[in-house]
Amino acid sequence: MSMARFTRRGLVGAAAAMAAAANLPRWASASSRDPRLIVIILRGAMDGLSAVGPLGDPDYAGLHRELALSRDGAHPALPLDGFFGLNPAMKTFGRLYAAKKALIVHACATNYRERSHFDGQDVLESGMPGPGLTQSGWLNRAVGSLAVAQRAQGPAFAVGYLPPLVLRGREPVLGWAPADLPPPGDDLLSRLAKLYDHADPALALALREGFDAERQVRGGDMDGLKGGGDVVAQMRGAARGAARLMAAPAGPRIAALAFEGFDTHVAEGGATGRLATLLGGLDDAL
Amino acid sequence: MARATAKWSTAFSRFGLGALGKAEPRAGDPRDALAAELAAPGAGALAGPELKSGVEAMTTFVELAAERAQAQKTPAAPKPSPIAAIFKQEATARIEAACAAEIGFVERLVAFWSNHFCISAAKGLSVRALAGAYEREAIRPHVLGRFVDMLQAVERHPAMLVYLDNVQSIGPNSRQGQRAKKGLNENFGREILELHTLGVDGGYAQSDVGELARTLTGWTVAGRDGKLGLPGGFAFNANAHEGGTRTLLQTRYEQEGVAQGEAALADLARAPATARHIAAKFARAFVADAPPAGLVARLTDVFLQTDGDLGALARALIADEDAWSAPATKMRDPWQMMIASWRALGLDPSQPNRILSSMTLLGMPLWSPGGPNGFPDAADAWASPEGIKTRVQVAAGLGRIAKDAPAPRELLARVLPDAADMTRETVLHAETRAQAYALMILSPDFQRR
Repeated sequence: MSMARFTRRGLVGAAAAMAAAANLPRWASASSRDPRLIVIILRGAMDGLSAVGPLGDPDYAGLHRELALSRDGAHPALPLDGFFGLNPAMKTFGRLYAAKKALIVHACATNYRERSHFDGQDVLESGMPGPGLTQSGWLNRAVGSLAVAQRAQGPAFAVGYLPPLVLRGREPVLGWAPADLPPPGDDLLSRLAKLYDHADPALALALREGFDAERQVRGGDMDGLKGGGDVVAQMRGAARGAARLMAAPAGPRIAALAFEGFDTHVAEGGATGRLATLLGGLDDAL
Repeated sequence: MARATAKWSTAFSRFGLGALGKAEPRAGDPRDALAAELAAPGAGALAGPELKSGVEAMTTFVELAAERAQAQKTPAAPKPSPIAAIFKQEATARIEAACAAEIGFVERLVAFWSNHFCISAAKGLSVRALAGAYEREAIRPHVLGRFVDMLQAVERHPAMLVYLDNVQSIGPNSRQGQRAKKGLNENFGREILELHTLGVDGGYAQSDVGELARTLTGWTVAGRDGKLGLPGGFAFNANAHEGGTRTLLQTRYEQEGVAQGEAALADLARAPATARHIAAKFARAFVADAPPAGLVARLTDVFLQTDGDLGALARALIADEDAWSAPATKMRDPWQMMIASWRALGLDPSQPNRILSSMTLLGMPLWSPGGPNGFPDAADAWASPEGIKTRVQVAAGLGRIAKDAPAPRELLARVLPDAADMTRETVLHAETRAQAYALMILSPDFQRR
């Protein structure tokens, strides 16, 4: 299941979506400070056990096998509380945690138990009891419940061409997108290549040749999914833009971003694979 | 006799412009629905208060040209081009018609004939101004009418006369030919024989090209002074016409003036070689790059027996078992891909910029083919590495802007009800909705038709 993380001016916390929604208005009114809230959706069913591994669980290494993090080896997990360990790609987050500026709320989920990723995301973002109820997101409704005075800083904003569902709804939302048109992404290419390989050899060949040059430049690999450099750069760009806007005194106070590519059911690779690359990107973005 | 099953998915992809993502799945025989689209009153017509006639568009062009000539002497601030505005209005109208159609067979026919008798907006500003009006005035009224009427309308339309340089073709022995040192331009005559009617193997000789070109000298566009007719409209300039009897394909044409060219075109429209050429191209465009020989033969017969009734030709196509049973080996061309995506995802057709720029990136700029043979219709031409790469990029972008589309599972059931298991799995297991939409558009089930 995807995780949602919440950032308030340097204070990074992760919390279950529902709890945060309920707390949001109270935070805003109880604090004399000037807080910011950023919700980052990691799309694609991130493997939480490889992001934050229960190293102290005697069954963990055996059950999670090659995807498991470990305390030793070439890429040891970063220490957290002694029981859990953090994926070594997330160094910034590890530092923030050690300084008590970050919190992890692990293994919480919505009530959705089917296997469709988008239905799962719909539930997570809409805050509704089931899929298909996607007219508005919980964050948008939360913004609507804030007193007018608390919203004086203008509308919430979303990063990307379309606001993520979590921020869609009746309340106005500002949009912002990095200027460069994002490339299709390794993940889309890899899925498409698989489909073409299976169903249409002529298109499979054309696809490979078409992206060959780019692949060589990037050193990535459509099949092995080792690439991801573009994804990391995109994350960093999106986060930098969001930070710049929100740091401004009159800037928006609430934002939502969505990062894609966390559906790492192929070549996920524990401490060094694609998930690690993506987590590194997220770490950079934070 | 019972008819074999005809699938709705085939109706939408092979004969139409893709299923609408918001419409419930259709019941009944799709052949009847296609026939009903052909029989609808006003089928093929496109009009609107904002759309300018060819004469009006040409007037805009002439005024702009005069203004620019003046501006060279006294420079003024550049203004937005009225011709770009005309082009965009025409493109929007075409896209809206394509997105509004129930199945889109008639709009596919319009696109087929428009490409068969193509002009190119890349020729210059005058053809750009006329491109949309040309299709509405010369193509659309005849897509379900007679081939001969379309041929006559096309070859006298100012857009075609400018595009194939006939406005510069002057009979060597005409009054103007004697006076000026300009002469015959055979381009128009050659393309009519090779591309519009008989076909390259249609049994004509170089002498026939010259004779047809001479027959058509004087077919031009009326100038601003209005001496020859309504400015910007078709005109016959007797002073540029090569007088005398012409012999074309063993037939003597003794008529004078514009009647001679009209008689020659009427005979070309009814030539058996033309019927074969059109029938084969028609079957190739809709069914397969190498269409079943029986299908081509049957379409040829229909064309000949009905004196080139294009409505009958369309009805014969959808009644033919071969046209339904052939496997989906062709690629949707960029126009078809963009419109089918728009229809599936429920995107706004009144905002055509993304469609137009995507079509250009994909190698099919609207109304602007690279040559008078039009855009290719063979699968290989569109399934190139660069083409596929661009399709991936375009589709990834479409997935991201599809905010009102139904959920992937529902959309798949409506748009690709017969999708292969692997396609279904790939789309439904996508990481995001945006990715699911992109994968659906890129799937062989959507791309092939």
